[in-house]
Amino acid sequence: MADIHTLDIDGLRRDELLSRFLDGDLSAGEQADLEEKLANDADLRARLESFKHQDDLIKASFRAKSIDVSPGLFSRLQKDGTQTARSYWRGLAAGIGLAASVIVAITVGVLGLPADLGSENGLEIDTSLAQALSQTPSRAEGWDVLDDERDFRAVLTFPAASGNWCREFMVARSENHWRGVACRHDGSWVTQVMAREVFLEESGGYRAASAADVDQVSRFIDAEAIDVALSAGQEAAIIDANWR
Amino acid sequence: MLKDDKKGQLIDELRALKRFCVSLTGDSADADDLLQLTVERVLERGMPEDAHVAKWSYRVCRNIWLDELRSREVRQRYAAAASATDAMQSGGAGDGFDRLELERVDAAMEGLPEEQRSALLLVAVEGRSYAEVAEILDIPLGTVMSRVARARRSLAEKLE
Repeated sequence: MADIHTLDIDGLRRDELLSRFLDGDLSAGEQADLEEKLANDADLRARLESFKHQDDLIKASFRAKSIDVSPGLFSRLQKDGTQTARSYWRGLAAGIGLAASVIVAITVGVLGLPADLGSENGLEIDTSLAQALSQTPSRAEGWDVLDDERDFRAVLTFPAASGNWCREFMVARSENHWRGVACRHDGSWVTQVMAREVFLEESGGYRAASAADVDQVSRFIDAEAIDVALSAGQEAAIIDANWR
Repeated sequence: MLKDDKKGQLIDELRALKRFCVSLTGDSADADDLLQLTVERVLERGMPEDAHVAKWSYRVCRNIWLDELRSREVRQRYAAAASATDAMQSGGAGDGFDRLELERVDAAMEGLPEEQRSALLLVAVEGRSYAEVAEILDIPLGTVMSRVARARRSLAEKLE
């Protein structure tokens, strides 16, 4: 059978339209057009019904599962405290045989882009990316568009053990997404770690690990951050002070 | 430190977050651990003042799971032990659907690439808008549309 994901472009467009219709994502005009087509096309109606049935099955499947939340977790949230969090995570990291310190040593030692992330993938700290890192406040949602049409988001700012300010950020171009951390170094932004964010192939297979994986980003922050992320006000003050 | 109002919002979100954990891990015990780690991570690091608690927490949860997937290579382990998910069934079908039919959709969902499964769960089960899913998964809106449609398309093929 042909691979429908790569060959049946019209079918994919049709299914995307039906999906958006089901999820209430179509504009009024798009919805009216589709409703007209549905009225005259039995196959299209059948396809829509099959999608609806699938959704009902998925919902029922999750309802049939036990989705209990440990009462201890509610208590944990109602109380305060971060005293166990770091040790809990460290314990897990050790348990899976990945010593965070080793990974961080490799990553920090690069002090620039990892060798397999050259300029061809658009992730070099070029002028526009450096400018965005210097001037863009962190945000939980939305994207800024750089000059070369890459999508950019500053995620958070934190003080590193080195005494420098560091920023976690995201860069996206088409289906490719990267997450990284850059830190101030002698008045410039220097990449500390960079990782692709998409791991799983379309087939469901597992893509081989690259030299810089997204888990390294989390572990870098775990290891290097000496305090929680700056608040919006604190970050604005640092931006105004040009990161001094 | 997470502020009290955000803690309250996180408590309200715990069951939906647990469903997301189940969807990601396919295993009840792992889902419990993932939820625990997510809460610990959020408490430890806090979040920006303007962050939406649910969206931020989903994102943290997914990132932790991707870290864990890579580290433990659980994907291969689960492929070899797919029957373990039977333990998650609470017994009996739901909403009048045939148990066998639910098991088939479960298996089909597990066979989806993670990025498609997450997007579809958030839209079809949690009722999130495409814009919200784009924020949670940190992907452009067009990618959400594509992933949800591809997920439904793949499921339709598998369930035919």
